[in-house]
Amino acid sequence: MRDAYVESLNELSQDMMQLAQIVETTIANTWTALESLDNKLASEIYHGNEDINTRVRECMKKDLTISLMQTPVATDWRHLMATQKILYDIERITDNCADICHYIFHLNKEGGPVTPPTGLQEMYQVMASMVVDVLRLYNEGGIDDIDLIRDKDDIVDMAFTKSMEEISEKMVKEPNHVRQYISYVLIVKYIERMADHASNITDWILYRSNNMLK
Amino acid sequence: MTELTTTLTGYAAQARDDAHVRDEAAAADITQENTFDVKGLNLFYDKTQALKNINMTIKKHEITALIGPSGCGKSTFIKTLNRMNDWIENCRVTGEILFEGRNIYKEVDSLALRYRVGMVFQQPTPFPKSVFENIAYGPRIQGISNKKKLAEIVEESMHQAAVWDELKDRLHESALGLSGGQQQRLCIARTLAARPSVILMDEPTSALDPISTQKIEDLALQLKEKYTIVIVTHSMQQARRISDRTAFFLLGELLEFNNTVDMFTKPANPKTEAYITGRFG
Amino acid sequence: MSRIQHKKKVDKIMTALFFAGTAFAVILLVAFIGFVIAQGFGEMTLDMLSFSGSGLGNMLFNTLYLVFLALVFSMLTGVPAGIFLAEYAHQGKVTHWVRMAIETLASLPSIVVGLFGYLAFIVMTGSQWNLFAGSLAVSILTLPLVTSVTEDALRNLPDSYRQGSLGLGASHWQTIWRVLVPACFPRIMTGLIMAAGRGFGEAAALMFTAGMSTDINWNNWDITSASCPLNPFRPGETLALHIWSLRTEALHPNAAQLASVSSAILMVLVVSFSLAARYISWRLDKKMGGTNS
Repeated sequence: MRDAYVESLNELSQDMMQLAQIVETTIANTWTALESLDNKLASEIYHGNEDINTRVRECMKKDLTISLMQTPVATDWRHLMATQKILYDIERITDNCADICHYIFHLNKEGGPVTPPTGLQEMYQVMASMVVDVLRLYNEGGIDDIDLIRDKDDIVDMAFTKSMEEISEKMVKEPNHVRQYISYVLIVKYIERMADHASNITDWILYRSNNMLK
Repeated sequence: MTELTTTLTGYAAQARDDAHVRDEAAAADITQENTFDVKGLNLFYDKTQALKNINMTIKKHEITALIGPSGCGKSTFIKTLNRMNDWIENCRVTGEILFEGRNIYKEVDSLALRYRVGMVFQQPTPFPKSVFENIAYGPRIQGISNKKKLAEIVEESMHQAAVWDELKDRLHESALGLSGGQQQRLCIARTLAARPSVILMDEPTSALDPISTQKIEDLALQLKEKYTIVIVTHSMQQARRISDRTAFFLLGELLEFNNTVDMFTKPANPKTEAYITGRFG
Repeated sequence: MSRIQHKKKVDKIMTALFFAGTAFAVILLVAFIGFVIAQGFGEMTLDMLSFSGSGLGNMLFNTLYLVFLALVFSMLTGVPAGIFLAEYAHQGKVTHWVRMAIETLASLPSIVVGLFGYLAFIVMTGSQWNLFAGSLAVSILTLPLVTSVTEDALRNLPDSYRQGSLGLGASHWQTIWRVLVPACFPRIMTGLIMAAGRGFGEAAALMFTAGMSTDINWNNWDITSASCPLNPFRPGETLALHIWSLRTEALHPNAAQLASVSSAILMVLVVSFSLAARYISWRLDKKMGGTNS
C-alpha cells in the first residue's frame, strides 16, 4: 500500500546517506587543509561547496514534495520535518568548511607562519566526531549517545573560550602577526558554530524519535 | 446540656445535608462535561461481534472524529449512540452508554434520546417536501404546531446551519431541487431544528464536492461552540482539520483514543501508525 | 463486412423493430378510439344524453358514482394492506401466504367475483341489487392492484427518508404517515387510476351486484329514498353494463346506436379521467421533486 510513497521516502534516505558521506569527507579534508595550510586542497573544498549546496537543495525539494503530495503523518511527518531542519544545519556546516578554507588562503597570503592556537586539533576532532555521530544517528535511527554528543558541544565551547584568550595574548606579544591571528579567531569561531549546528541536529533527532521539542 | 446536644446534632445534620448537596452538584458537573460515557460496550449482529469492549468518553463542545478502515465498527458505534441500531434485527448490545449521565438503554426513552442526539447521514436525506417543511419536521413531530413558533425555529436553524442567505427565498421550493451541498446543510439545519445537544455525523461529506465539504467543515467548527459533535470520517485529513479528539477503530475494537494533534504526530499504537500513514495491510 | 459494421447494422434493425412495434400499438389505440368516438358521436342525438328515463345521463352518473365508491373502498383496504406488507410484516410464512392470497385474488375472473358479490352482499344481506354492493365487488377486483402498488411504492422509496425521519426521533408511524406515504402519493395515485379504469370498464362483476336497472328522480334528495341519485343502496346500471345489455337483449329500436354512443361516452370518460389524474400526479411529482425552480 502506498508503494510510491514509501519508495520516495527511501529515495530521500539514500540521498541523505550519500550527503552524510560527502559531509564527513569534506570535514576530514578541511582539517588536512588547515593543518598543512594546503591551498590546493582548500580551493577544492571551497569550490566543492556549491555541489554540496545543490545536493542539499535537492533533498529539501524532495522532502517538501513528499510533504505536499502525501500529507504525511506520525513518524513520517516527524521524520520529514526533522530532515528539513537538519538539512539546513548540514548546509551551514559545509558552508563553514568553505569559510575555513577561505581563511586558509588568507593565512597563506599574509606571509610568515604563526603557531596555531594549542588544542586546535583536539577542538576540531571533537567537533568532527559530533558531526559524524549525529549524521550516523540520523541515518541509522535511535537516540543512543545523544547526551554524549551534547556534552561534546560543551567541550568545544570551552576550547573556544580558551583559544580566544590564548590568541589575544599572542596578538599582544606578536603585533606583526595580528592579521594571521584574526584569521585563526574566525576559524575557531567557525569550528564552534559547526559544533552548534551538530548540536541542533540532535534536537531534531530527539523530536523525530520522541515528538519532543526543547 | 441537652439543648446544646440538640443544637450540635442539628448543625451536624445541616452539615451532612450541605455536603450531600455539594456532592450532587459535583457529580452533575462531571456528567455535564461528558456528553457520553461508554463503558464496556459490546455489540453483536447475530453471533458476529461488531464492537468489542469499547470504553470511551465523549466530551461536551468538542468534535470527536472516528476513523478506521471500512467495517471497523465506527459507523456501528456512532449509530449506537442514538440507538439507530434498534431497527436492525438480531442486534444485541451489552455494556452501558451514559448520555449526560443517564443510561440510554434503561433510563432514556429512545425517541426522546433522538430528539437530543441528532444525526446527519452520509447521503443527504432531504424529504420530498419544501425546504421549510423539511426543517419544521423535527419540531412538528415533537408536537409544535404554532406557525409563528415553527417559522422562528426554521429561521434560527437555517442561520445556524449557514443556509439562510442561500435559501431564504426558496423556502417553499422542494428540497430535492437543491444541490448536494445545500441538501446536506439543509439536513444539518433540520437536525438543529429538533433542538439536540449532540450531532452525530456519519461521513457527512463523502458524497460532496470539495467546496461543499469545506463549508460543512467550517460549519462543524462553528457548531462546536453550542453542540457536541461526533463525526465518522474516511478522510484522515478531515479528522485532522476539524476534530479535537480522534478515535481509531480496528476490527470492532477501539485501539487508540487521543487528542488529534498527538494522534497524528505520535500515535501510541503501531497499528494506528500503520493506518494513518497509509501502510495498512 | 467488419464486426463493427455488422454490429451497427443489427443495432439499426433492432431499433427499427422496436419503433415499429411501438408505432403499431399507438396507431391501433388512436384508430380504435377514433373509430369508437366517431361512430358514437355521429349517431348521437341530444335526447340520448338526457337524465330521464332511457337517457344515458343516468348511467353516466351511476358509473362515476360507482367508481368513486369503489375507489374509496379500495383505498381504505388496499393502501393500509400495502403499508402493512411493506413496513410492518416480517418476511415469513404468514406474509408469504398473505401475498399469495392477494396475487390469487388478482387473477380471479370477474364473473366469479360478481357471483361472490351477489352471494355475499345481496343474498346474505337480503337486500336489492345496489351500487354499494357493486362498488364492493369492484373493490375486491382492484384490491390486489392497489395493495401491490402501495407496497412497491413504499419499498422503492430511498431508505434515506426512513433514516432521516427516524433519526429525528419520529416514531415508525409518524415516519410512515408524514414522510413515506406523502412521498409515494403520486405512485399510489397512479395505482388508483388504474383501479378506476377497471371500475369504468367492469360489467361482469356488476351484473349481479349493482343491477341492470336505474330509476332516479333528480328532484328527490332524500338520501334514504330508493330514487335519490346519491343513495348508494339503490340499483344502478353503469355504462359498461348498459352497452352489454343493449347489445345482447335490448328491445329498443335504436339499441345499436345507443350502444355506440354509450361506448363513445365511456371512452371519453376513461381517457379524460386518466389524463386528469396523470396531470395531478405529475404536478405533485414536480412539486416534490423540485424541478420547477
